[in-house]
Amino acid sequence: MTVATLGRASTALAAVAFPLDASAPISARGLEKRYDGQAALAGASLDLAPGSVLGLIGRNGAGKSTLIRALLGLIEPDAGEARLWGRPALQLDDDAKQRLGYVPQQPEALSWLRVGDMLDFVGRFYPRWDQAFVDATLARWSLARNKVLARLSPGERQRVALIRALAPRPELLVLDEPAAALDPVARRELLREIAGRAGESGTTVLFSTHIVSDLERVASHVAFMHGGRILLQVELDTLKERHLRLRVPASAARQLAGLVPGEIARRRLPDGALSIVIVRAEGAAWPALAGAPGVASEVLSLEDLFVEVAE
Amino acid sequence: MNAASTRSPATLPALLLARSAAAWTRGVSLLMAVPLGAIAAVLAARGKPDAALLPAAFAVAALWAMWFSRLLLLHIEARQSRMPGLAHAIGTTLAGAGLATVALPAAALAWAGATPALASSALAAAALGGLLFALLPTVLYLLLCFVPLLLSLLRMLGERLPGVALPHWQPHPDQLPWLALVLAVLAAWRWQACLRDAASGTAGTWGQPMIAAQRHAWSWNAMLTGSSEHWRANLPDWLWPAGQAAHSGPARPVRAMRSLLGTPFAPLAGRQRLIQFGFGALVLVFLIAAPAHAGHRADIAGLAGGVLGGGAVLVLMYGQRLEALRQRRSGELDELALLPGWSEPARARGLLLRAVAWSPTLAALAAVAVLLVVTTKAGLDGARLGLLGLAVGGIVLTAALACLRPLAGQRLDGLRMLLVAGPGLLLAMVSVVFALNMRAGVPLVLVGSWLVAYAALGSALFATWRRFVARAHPFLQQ
Repeated sequence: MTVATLGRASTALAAVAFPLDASAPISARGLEKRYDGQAALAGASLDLAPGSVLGLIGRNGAGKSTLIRALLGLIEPDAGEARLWGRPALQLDDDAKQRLGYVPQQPEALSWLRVGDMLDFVGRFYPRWDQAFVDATLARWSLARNKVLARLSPGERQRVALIRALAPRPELLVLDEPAAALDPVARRELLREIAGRAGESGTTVLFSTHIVSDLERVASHVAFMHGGRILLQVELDTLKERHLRLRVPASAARQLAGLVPGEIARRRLPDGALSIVIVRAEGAAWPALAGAPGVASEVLSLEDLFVEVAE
Repeated sequence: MNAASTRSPATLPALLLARSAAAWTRGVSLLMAVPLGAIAAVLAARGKPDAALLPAAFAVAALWAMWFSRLLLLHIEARQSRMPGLAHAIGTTLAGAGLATVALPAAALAWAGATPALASSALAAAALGGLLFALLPTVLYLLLCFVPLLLSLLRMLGERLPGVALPHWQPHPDQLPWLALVLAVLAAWRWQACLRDAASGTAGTWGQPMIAAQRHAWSWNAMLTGSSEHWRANLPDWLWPAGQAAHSGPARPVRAMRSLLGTPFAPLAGRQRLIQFGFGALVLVFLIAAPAHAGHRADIAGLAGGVLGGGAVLVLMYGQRLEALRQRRSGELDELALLPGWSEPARARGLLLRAVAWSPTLAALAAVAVLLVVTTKAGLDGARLGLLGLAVGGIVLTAALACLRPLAGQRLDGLRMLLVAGPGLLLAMVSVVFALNMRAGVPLVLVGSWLVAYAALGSALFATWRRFVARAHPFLQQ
């Protein structure tokens, strides 16, 4: 049984069992997208509750950016559907766009404009544009208004993009690897800003990352992405109570047929034993295998869990 | 470089030469040089050594301009990394390349019967000219594009204004050694200047030679279309206007979209408009005011050809810009898709088409105005004017297709586009040459070819249009 098989099974179940949530800021089911024959999204489903901060974690190439772009209607998926506040992502109206802030992984738009000109221009489109925030943050981050965007460092570009995304006072903030180009100090500031927005204004946040410590610092929920699928989406606080890694010895592994209930990752160890990661629903009991003789179980750190799922 | 430093002195120049340029650069330069060299060899073998000089010179120039000039980058890196002996080795390599591409071919041509001094000085001038061309500040390449037009206007001015006598220069083979000497001095000066600029970091992107400013490739396309951040960020406003966002916003959505599409679609600032349109207006006023002059059809043909050739370049430029937007992640298409103000797809499509069409339409109208003036002054008959009209229409349709394909999510450089637009643009050139230079009537085969071209362009446009309107919204990326 491969992770791919597991993912397909769980995706199919999710698509059937859970319809799109019309009230959720983001809700997606069964998103698929292929590039040159390669699946970038292979049935990804995701829900984002209002006010939550969801950290989307996955390895490079897991499909995080493609998923985010499909969620925002920037690309058309081959199959599946994404909705923002109940509206199809491909048909967002002005009201939805005014409530949305997006920071791409490598902001490149309007690079020939000066920082101030770009922000002034974009600000004209948003009725709730917070000019005071723009001015204060530019000063705080030492970003000159008259500097051409293309001449900024990647970290500075990222900061300007963040200001551009936050100034409309969005209700939903989507950030694609926002900390990738930032130094540790800037990263800390960014995370503080995200946490502040979520805590004080109730902004819903979706951010992708492969830095586990960032996720632990601000996220209320975590979604593990691998091979174009969301393998696990869970509240961070309860994650430790809801997952286990089972080590099934080789003798027992040979008799193991089919999926273990809640299984999200499986790999064979050099001695023939199986390492299986399982997740249980809130309040549900562990499967019988967890208590079987010879089967060792342990709770993983978030980073270990990520490695286990993504490997 | 480490490997290079461990080789024996004998093999080092060859290794440096091989490492100085990427494989595809070496391949392209050889692709140009080898056939030309072969033509030269054939001509020399057939007892025409003087005729062989021209292709041989072009072959040598191609090698030096595209390949050997990149030794400058090694020289810059050798200086920056303080690598002992490498600068000397680069000098040896240049001398070896000169021996192989100038001295030996010149000797062979002399053996075939060419004048030794002429052969050696011609090939030396070609090598040094190629080298100097590669070392020129990048901004000069843009200015060089205007040289033919300026020379043509200057010549017309000199011939028509009384009392003005322009100096007349007649090239002569005896001047070649002096030319080679001047080129040698200039190339050596530019080489040293590039080394100094690289050490001090004082030269801007446009002040450096292109090989130093963008080391990985010759990227004319990126420079013209603005798809390269690096080039675009460093363009001086007066030369190549950056997009202006002033007075753009939801109240003026077409202007806002033009700002988002960037150069060459972006609105111009007042100063930029003055420079661009002022120059065009001057040309137009000059053409209108100049007295009719018999026997100057060649001038008119040159100007008309220049206008139509410029139109073909514009087709590429507008299309390439939209293609760059289509390909670029996290670029302006994302902004267009997520900015509030044009969410309804049909309205967004209409606004986008108007934003895209604005600049090409103005450029086309300006070109047609110039053409009308020059053809009226040349006294073309109706049939020839009609042929020119067909050419203009073909270029306009090709431009429309080039712009619409990226908006419909199709590749600009796809096979279909190549099959449709390539012959169309070629036909436009043939039509202009024919209309302005031939005395015979317009042949039916040319008109028939245009009918086929129009049908192909129309069919391609219709298919692309259907794809464009079928998209969920016009700012989707693939």
